[in-house]
Amino acid sequence: MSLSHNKNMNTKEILNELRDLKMKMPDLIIKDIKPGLFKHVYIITNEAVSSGDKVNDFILKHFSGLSIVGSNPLKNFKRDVERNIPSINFKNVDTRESLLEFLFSGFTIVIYKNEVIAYETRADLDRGVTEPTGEPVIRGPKDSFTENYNKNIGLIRKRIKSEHLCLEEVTIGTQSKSKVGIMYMENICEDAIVDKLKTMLEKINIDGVMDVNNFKSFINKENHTLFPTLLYTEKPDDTCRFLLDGRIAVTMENSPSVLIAPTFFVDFFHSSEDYYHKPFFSSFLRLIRFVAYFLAIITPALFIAIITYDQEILPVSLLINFTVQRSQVPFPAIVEAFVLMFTFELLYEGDARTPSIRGTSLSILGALILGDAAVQAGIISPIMVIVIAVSAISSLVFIYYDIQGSIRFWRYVLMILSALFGIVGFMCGFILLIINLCSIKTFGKPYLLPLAPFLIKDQSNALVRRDLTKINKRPTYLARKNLIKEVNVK
Amino acid sequence: MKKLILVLCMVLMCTGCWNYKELTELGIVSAMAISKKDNKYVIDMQLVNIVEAGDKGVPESPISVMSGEGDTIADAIRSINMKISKVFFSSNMEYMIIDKSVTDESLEEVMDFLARDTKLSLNFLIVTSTNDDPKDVLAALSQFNLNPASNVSELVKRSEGRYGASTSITFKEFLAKYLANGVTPVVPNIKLVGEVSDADDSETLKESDSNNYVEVDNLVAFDEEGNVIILETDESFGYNFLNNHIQNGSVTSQCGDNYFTIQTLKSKIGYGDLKGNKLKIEGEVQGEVFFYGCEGNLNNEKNLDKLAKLTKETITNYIKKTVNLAKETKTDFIGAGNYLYKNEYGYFDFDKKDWNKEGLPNIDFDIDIEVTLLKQGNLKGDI
Repeated sequence: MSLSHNKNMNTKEILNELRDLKMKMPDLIIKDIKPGLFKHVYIITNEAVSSGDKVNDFILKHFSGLSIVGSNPLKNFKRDVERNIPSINFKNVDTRESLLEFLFSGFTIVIYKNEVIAYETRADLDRGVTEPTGEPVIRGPKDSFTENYNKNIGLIRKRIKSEHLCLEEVTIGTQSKSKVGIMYMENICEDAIVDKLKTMLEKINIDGVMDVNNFKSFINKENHTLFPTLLYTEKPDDTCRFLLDGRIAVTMENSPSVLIAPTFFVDFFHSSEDYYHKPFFSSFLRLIRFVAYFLAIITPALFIAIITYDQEILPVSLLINFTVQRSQVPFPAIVEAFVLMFTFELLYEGDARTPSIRGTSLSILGALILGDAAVQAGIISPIMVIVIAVSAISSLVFIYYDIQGSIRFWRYVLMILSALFGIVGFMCGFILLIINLCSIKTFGKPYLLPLAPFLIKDQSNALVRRDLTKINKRPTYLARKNLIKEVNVK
Repeated sequence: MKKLILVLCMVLMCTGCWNYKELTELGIVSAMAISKKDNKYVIDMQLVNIVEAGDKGVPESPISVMSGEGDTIADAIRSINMKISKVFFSSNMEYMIIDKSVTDESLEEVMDFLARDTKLSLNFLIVTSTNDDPKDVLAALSQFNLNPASNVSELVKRSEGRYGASTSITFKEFLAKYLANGVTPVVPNIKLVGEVSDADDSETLKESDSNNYVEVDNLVAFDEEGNVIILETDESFGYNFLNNHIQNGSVTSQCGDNYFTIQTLKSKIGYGDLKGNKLKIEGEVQGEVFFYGCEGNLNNEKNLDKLAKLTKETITNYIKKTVNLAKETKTDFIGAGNYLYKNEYGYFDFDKKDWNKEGLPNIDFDIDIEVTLLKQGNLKGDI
């Protein structure tokens, strides 16, 4: 590291400026150490972003210990500093702007005569590795990504100790200049997908990105759909599983989640936990999720279609039962359904934004309003409460939050179509849903893979999961380059 | 996109909510009766009262019966429309009573009307009530089911397989037999037991030994003039054996002064070859001893054979009686003509001649049935 002498910097002026700044910035510390007669070493730091321990232990200790009568301690300032202060990051500052930038990003500035040196004394301001809050699990690792870029990459590298795990960095945001890392297994992942993603990311021209979720608007935007085409996870074990399948993980500084691409419809029904249970149980859970997905979308619509147009479908005892329940309700079925659905959406959003301490009062209120009082008041019928509750509960089983958008959209579309055209409208709406699902392409591949087109070899880990020893191949639609996992292969 | 919006707008405007009906607007018809009085059609409808159990200030009866009159069936129904505020919903109708007054030429009009109405399903049961006014039957309440119509239809369906003296027939089957050559439909007869005036009183439901209820009687057929042919118990058994309606029925025969009952496990009887004027009725009935009041050890194979022989005689007798009734009344409800029409086409000219009058009386039947007893019956565990 070369510390060139810089005559452009007027340190006296800068010091005066900093002294003025201190008036409005009490966390700025300017310390004047006098190691000798008429010799001033100024140590400047911002205590909010720098670690006091590091400043004390390495910098202050060194300069304070210098003897006034010592043998020319400051004769060669730079060499002396290099020799005596241990620090990896150690910068020579030559402009006023860079001095301020270093100061505010946690460096400590040492000024002696005209020489300015910045030492890294950054404080650890990130939260530690905590349990995942968005994707809670019962079995399996319980660490999650944080806002710290290096920590996130560390959490992944810790799990895949391979020289093939590549990391490519790009900077996005004309103002925020956020560091974005693209990680993939170079021996598994298809190069075309990596190139495509890289060009997509490089094309982004925006002043700032705050989170990887911002990339939603820039990747795969040719699809007109509300189905999620990108998966976001905060679990490192999930990320590593995807990386080993031949997918790409995109991390970003200050973002606690990681973007996975390409992802397909079935991926949103899988959970890292599936792989920690026995195959039968995890297959059962997956099927439950699939059923729940369609229940969440179709139940209210189907019910409305049946009770307002096609009552003939119902057995007579059930019909009488429904009629008795609805006899006190003054609204048409669709209005009743919307009132109840709206109340549920309010509760759902309210619950998400309420601190958990206040959550109980919300649930009591919700249970009372939805369950009992509204029925007693004759605004809604008990059977409608059941129907909406089935739909609402079904929509809550999903691990990945992004899927909620598609459920909401199609649920309401189908409800309106059912209310207008009965079962015929419902069927038309459902066909539209299927058409939409089939027409999505994610990175040039059909979204419904491996279900449609049906790939028999990939069924061992799609709707159901076979035993891990039987899934000895990576998905054929992702990892043509390196298909065999070498489980059970001698 | 503009085109899509246009199409959507057109669809919305052109179709609208044309078939929209709320549940609460429906008058659910659970049963119906068609009869004729003074040359006018009379329709009686049993409607389900939509009241929540335990509500105060509402009628206690679970059903209401409304009647209407008119020159045609459509007029009669319209006249009921004037009396109630609901939209008729008859898709889930359980049964229809065809009164003896409409079994003559009017039956064709009735069938035409029922087949024409698209809102009716094809699966409701057809019954008749020869003794009672159909309106009284519709008005009768039931202890076993809040919806008396369900009770009647269940009753008819259950009695077919178990008891064997009745049979159920849906509208679809009825219509098929009505239109087919050489066969006449047979319908179950239901009757009211007890005082007619009490049967529709919900007070009777409060008694545990109520004497008022609806009962399934034997079968009934109609001849070409609309006269009622009542099949007695034996003849009803014969009809059901001949049509394989009995699967788990019981057959009681006499052994000396005592009786024994066989429960049938499997029964398959049908028409066989035609030789000259003789049509064979053949088949097999398998069963086990259900009740044994005779002398002799059942472990002895000969005794079992004897029982089988006696049962065979009983069943043959049932069928013989049924066949004779058909020949006497010149009404082929046993379906022999239909069998010949399908299998021995050259035997009779169905297009030009009347089978019931010219064919049926001249044909003889040769009944040959095998009865096998599979078991001596069951005993409980370790007695």
